[in-house]
Amino acid sequence: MDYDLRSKLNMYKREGKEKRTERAGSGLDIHQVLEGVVCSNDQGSCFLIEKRYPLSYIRGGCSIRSALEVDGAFLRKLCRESGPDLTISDFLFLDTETTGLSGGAGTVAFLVGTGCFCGDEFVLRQYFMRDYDEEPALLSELNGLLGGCKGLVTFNGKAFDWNLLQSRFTFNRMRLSLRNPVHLDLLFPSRRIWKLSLESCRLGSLEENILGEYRGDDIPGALIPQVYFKYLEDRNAAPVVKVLEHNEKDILSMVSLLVKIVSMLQNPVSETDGKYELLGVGRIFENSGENGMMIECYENCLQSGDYAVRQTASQRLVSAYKKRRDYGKMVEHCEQMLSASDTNAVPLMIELAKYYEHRAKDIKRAVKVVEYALQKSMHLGLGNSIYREELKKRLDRLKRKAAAQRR
Amino acid sequence: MNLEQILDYYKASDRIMANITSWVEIPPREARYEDFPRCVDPRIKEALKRRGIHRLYSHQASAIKAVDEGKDVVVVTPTASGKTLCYNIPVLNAILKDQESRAIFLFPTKALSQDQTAELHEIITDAGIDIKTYTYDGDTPQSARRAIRQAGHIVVTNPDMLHSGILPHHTKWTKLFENLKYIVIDEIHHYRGVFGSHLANVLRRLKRICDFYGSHPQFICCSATIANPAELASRITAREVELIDNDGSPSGRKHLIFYNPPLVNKELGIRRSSMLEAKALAESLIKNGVQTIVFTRSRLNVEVLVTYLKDVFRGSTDGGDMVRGYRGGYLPGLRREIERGLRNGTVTGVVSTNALELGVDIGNLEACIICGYPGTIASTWQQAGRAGRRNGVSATFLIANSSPLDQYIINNPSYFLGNSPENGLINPDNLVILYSHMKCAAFELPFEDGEKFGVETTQEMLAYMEEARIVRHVGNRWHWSSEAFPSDAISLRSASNENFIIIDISLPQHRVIGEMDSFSAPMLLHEEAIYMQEGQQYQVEKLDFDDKKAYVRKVDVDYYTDANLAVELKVMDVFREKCGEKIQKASGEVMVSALVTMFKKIKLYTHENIGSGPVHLPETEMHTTSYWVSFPADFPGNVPQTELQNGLLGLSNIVSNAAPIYLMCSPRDIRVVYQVKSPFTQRPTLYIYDNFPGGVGFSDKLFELHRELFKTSREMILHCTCEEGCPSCVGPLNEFSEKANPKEATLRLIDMVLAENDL
Repeated sequence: MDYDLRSKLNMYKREGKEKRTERAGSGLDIHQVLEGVVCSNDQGSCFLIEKRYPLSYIRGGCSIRSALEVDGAFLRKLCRESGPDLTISDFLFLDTETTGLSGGAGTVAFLVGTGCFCGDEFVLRQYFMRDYDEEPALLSELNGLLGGCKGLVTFNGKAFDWNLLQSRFTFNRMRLSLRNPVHLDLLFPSRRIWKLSLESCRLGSLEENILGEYRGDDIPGALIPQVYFKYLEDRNAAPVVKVLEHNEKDILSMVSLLVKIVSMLQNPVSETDGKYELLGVGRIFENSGENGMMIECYENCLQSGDYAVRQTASQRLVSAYKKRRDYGKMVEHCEQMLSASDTNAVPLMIELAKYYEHRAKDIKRAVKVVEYALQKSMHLGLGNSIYREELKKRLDRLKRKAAAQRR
Repeated sequence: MNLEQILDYYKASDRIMANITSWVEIPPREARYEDFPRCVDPRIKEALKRRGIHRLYSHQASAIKAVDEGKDVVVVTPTASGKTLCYNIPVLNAILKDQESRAIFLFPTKALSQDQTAELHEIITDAGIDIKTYTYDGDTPQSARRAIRQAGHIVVTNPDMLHSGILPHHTKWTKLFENLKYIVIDEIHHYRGVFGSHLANVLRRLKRICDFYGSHPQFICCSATIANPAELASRITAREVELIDNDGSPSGRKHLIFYNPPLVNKELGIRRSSMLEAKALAESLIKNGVQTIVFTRSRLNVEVLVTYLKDVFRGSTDGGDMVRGYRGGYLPGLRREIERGLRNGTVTGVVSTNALELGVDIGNLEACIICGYPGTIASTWQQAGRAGRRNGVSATFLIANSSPLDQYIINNPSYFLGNSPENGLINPDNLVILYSHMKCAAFELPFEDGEKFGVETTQEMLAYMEEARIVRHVGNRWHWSSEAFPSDAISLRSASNENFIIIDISLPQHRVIGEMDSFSAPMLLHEEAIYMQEGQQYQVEKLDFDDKKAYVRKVDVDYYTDANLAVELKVMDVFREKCGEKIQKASGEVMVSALVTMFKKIKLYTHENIGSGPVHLPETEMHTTSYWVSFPADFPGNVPQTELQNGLLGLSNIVSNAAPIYLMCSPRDIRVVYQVKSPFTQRPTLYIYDNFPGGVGFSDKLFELHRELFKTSREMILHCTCEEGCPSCVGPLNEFSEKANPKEATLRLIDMVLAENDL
């Protein structure tokens, strides 16, 4: 009495009960819906869609030509790279669409979109695998392209796209022609700049809120793997078109986003909103150690109508002045804030008191500041109560010092 | 009094000796040494010499030589015999020879891995060599993971992490997999049943990945003493494994004392609480300054016993701090403090769960009290190994409780002295488990046409997976074709991923306190059932069958519940069969359908039926493996039908208590049913099946152990002091019909089985 494998598996697994959709035939072939070519190499073949955009093409409110005007030295700084200056033409814009978001060896990039400036055009190339066995050929094509460039521009590519592609090369025992590229992942500056003003810093959200581009019937990223699996099943390429469009828009948006970010960094005061964005740009400079630019940003934030922005900027400034040992500036700034009654920031007052006590040796003035800080902290409730003990101790000590001086 | 004087005092005391069923003295054993094998790097030798190790024990030398010859090995050693050197030396050697060499160390628990690597670090530091050892588990910070993947020579981890954190990301571990020389599996006897069947499949995946990267690692396994270490290791690793068991470590004189608390109710076979006996013994030992460890079966019991003992010593100069508790759930800092106290002698008594059974360094104590049989002989030895000094006497007391298994063990010390009867069993081809890991394997690397994953039916299963649309066949390969990350959904600790969750709603803050497989749930988690966990009673208030959740509330009642289970068992396939003159035995696949119809409330201790209620739950089905024995169809003859029925019932009860000794499992892991006339054999038949979907290898072993099983059952009945039957042997009398002598009826069946010598 044999009990066959299939029925046993059915008993254990729900998967077996799923009905299979009909296969092949009914839908549209990829050649019918997309203008592309089959490209072949020694690894096999894959499908390539190539589009060329003139530099006058407008996205995100400006022509993509602006990207070419980005200063090379500036780009290098942005990537925090040493070495020779790069031009934007050295970079490949890269975005992948994958069979899953969890990563791991079983996740495949079935579509790799790239873009680069070439002469007076922006060339978009999308490599698509029509089935899993086309992966080696796809990677081989991509490798040719990567060999000709020095850097990458991605959005979240450090954690995801590039990481995954490296895995795929390992998986297929292929050697990447671009090792340790300069990698400009726009997610990081975007987060710095827009974290405070936007709910989400995903590319779609930035497109809508910053670039003013609206995607009408865009396919949500989460549905993309399913579209691909279905295509593999029924070979109907029509729904795949949406995925390619999605990928294309992502790449074009990266170009505009790069331009936007660079312009903000080059002219923080005029190009940003003067508050959250300016504060974010200041943070970028702070991290890259460009103190002059940072201070310019923060000082301009002090003009903002937003109290929170003023407070944050003011504290960052104090620590910046202090780091540079520019005590004159520090005191001037603190005193200004105090006399304008524009701050409730106790830490700032403590800094000032420290200065008077230890640097200027002006105990009297230090006592005044601490007393003022104590008084402020009384009215500010719990948030500042953590400072009270510290302030009291400081005051005691200062008074003892003052008494000693008098003697 | 010192320990020897105390033991003499016990021997002279009639009151104590009345409870001691057996007192075994194991004479001291001299060490057997061998020189370092030639292959050992001089730097390692020097480092070991600085640590006072000038020669190796014989088993260490044999292991190192065998590994050097390229063999896969399993080393069987008792506690404290220096087993870590058996793998540390070959691994360090290989890395010194070739800096690129890599090794994976697998330990069943995190705590264990931390302790074992501490020792490894010491040798590395002593030898002044640059070998990087890292622990990679759930606690490893993200920031450190990258460095470990690139530079770690030795990656110390556990099977769960290997399964879900390393193998699915193998492309990030290329250095490791390209150069993997050794896979060390410590405490391999832990990997039995479901866990072991999973591990065997995780290793199948690991080997595929090694093949891909061109490495061919050797296995070095260590096991406690069991009946079949080489068989288990080779089932898990799928390699021929050389057994190394020439233990050369020395030991002092050991006393092994079997202590059975006095009967308080002869009819019901109830004895004085083992906890109270343990308290009395521990008290007299600790009072005399004898460093003592007490093992209890649950965390709750640790606390109870510590409280008792602390009360006793509260007045003493050391305060209560000379007696400490130790269990999972204590914070690491506290644990380290207690361990230190044990090593330097400030702690005289410790009460622990099996958390201190292995690994953790607490030095060697003088006395060990095991309160309740730990469930396996291997565990008992490991716990007993905590007491034992090279030069000097040590003593272990095993105190039985009233359960049949405890009673059997306490009356049969021979199991501890001869060869171990315990088999570590797994079933790597369990379909549920195999299929789960095939998914993971397909995710990790596409299957090739014709490739085998342990079983002949690999390609058929791939075709099935393609129909389920989780792989896609293109070219000559089967590609993973799903968004899912399969290993996330697969737990190595359970056979099915559809467990019921048990939620305690006693407090406003609900919390999950346990899990139960979906097959047992209707029986144990039906509404109004009393669910027991760590000695606490809970009543099930609501069973959400569809969402697989049981809501329970703490109660304190004097009864337990027993569900009436209507089990239907159908034989699907026969693997092995042997017919004697009257008796037939077989093993094969069965389909078990169980329907819970009602439940009874049974009073604790007296086993009176004090109420009942209906249960309305759907039938559950399980497909598993079974072993069965059938009796002649014309058996009744001049014997009344009721006697046959009584005999089969008694046999079911006794066999379900005897089998776990051989299978190294808990009595819950198997089930026994009988059919007076089986539809399949057409004869009176007794079935013992694996209580896990797909089976975990028990049945096949029972087929082989057929005679031993019945012999043991017979001895258990004969050794029991009751007259006609009790819960400790054939079962409580009130379960049997009419005025029968169930013991006799059962023995008659057993004798019939044993009469056939060649089965």
